[in-house]
Amino acid sequence: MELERWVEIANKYGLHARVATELVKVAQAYDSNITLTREGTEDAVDGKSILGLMSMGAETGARLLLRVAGADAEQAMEAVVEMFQRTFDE
Amino acid sequence: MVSKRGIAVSPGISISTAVVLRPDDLRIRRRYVAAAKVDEEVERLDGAIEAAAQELERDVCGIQEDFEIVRQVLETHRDMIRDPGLLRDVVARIQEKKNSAEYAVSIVLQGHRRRFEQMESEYLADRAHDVQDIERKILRQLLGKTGDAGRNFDEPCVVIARDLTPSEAASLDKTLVQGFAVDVGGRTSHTAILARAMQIPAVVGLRDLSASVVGGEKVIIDGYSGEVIIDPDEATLEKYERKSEWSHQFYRSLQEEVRWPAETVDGYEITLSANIEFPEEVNAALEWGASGIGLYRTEFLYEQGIPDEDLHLKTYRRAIKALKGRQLVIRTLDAGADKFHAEAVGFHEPNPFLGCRSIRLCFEQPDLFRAQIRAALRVSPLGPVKVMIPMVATLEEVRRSRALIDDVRAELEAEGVEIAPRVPVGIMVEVPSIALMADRVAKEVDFFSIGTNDLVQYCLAVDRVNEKVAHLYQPAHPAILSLMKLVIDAGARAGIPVSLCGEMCSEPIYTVLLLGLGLRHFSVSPIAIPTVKRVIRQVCMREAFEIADECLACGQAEEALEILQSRVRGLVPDFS
Repeated sequence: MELERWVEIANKYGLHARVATELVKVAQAYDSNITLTREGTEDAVDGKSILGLMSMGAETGARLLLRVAGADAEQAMEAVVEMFQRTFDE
Repeated sequence: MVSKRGIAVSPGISISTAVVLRPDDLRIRRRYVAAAKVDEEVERLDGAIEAAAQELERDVCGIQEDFEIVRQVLETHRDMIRDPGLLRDVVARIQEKKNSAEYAVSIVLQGHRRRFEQMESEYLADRAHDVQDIERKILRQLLGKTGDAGRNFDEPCVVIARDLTPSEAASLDKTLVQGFAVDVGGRTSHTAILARAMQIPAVVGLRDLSASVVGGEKVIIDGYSGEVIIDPDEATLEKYERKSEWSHQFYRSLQEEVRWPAETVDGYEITLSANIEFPEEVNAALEWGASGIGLYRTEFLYEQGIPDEDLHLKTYRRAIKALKGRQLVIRTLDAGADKFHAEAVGFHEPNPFLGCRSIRLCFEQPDLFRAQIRAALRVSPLGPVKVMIPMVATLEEVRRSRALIDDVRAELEAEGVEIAPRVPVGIMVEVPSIALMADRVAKEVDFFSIGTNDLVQYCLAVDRVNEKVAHLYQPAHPAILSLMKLVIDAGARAGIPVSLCGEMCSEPIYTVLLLGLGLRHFSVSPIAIPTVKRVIRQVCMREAFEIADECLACGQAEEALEILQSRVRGLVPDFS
């Protein structure tokens, strides 16, 4: 199964180290392939890679296209979107 | 006794025994493996990554509770090392390009490092250091250099090293380390940040200090002046013990004065700005009470090669945003006899300080200058930006710089780029010729900034880092005072601001004299702001004029210094 959704970074300092770490933790709990692509760019970054996520340089307000593909795509999508909605508990 | 000077990055004075951390030799050559050995190489990589992650895990467990910053750094490092994306990229290089594991790791992480360095966010740009740190961690495992020999000590000490990474710092016993003295790095290096977090003095940029210390020597680290003294003699030791005691009490009392205006007893308002090298320093400068940035040195941008317009732009934008409407004076490239310079000029100069440097180099290589000016003009709508040209010796150079800047402005306007209607252009007054003809030059620039470091060097023919003649470097020399007076008076007649941004300005002993010479704009190192301000707030301008006249009448620097010393004593601790 393949799913797509736009998410927005709402926390103050963007996708910094701690946020990236949290995101990776959640992403790694699923078998699905998870990627994020910054609006206006083509590069899809692996949601399970902290270096990849941080090097997007995504600051607050940035919009990202979240793509999830795999058997547990639905659950993975829900979990990741929820993290963004909770602004990673900041 | 040996004394060296670096960049003071964390205030305080410590006097203790030296422990030297020797670096590992991690130079990686371009190496390849045979196709048949690829699997073996990948296995070796897996092992090294796991071992590096475990090493970090142990470091994390060993951290004391009050050192949360380091814990977070190390946890992030651990996650970066275990990053599946990193593993994938490195393995791909080994399999496809037959790179050795070491070479592949270093290439892949270099790519990440570059990407971070280019980022506009100050926070993310700093992450380049973290990438470098994990690179070293993995490489040390691959190269089998995992010993922490010489890192164990059981009594209070100061740590001396070529470089210090967060994980190295974390492996040190915080209760015993009293200070850092490090060969490399600038004001925003991890060493600087950690030292401030640990509230211990630190000096960086000491070049070859670690090579000249064996370990076990008595060392003084002066986190105010940047001085590091090895094997001090009795008198020096005594002086620093006193200074340490004083500064302790003094800086505590300064905290509350940070928001007070820099105003003399009789109501003359003085502008106190800060000299910085990195946009990251802006916040610290503002915390110390700076009214803006009077000198932003841009040379560090050239450390990794010639920067493009974009890098200039992003860096300046960070500074101007942090300043929130306060002034930023950007000094264009002021490169001396360093490596970059030799490469750029393309030949060896026997006497680089009288050679093709700074504005001369910019005329030689106009693209270099244009990129910097384009960026400076482009950030001008974001806040009050000024451009300052260093090393000007002739009026022709003033006109030529201005013409180039006008040209760049026209070019940007043609491209439809928004620029502030007026971006003041001024010059550093540091070559005596310009000081002597200040009246004529003042009509063609928007401001002067006296650079005493070079003015003294060029006027007195003294290289102050040459120990044989360092004592001849005398900012209070009557010739220097006369030149400064000429410039300040010329500025006043032409109605343009004159500031002073040399080190002399940061030394409280000269504050009264400078006020008396008519100086109203001081630009000093961030940490000197409260001290200089304290002197300003206790001076009556009439007195200052008298003192300046007395000093101007002196025949030699020593006499002037005696007068000044007697005035400043009691106002601030003995920092001489």
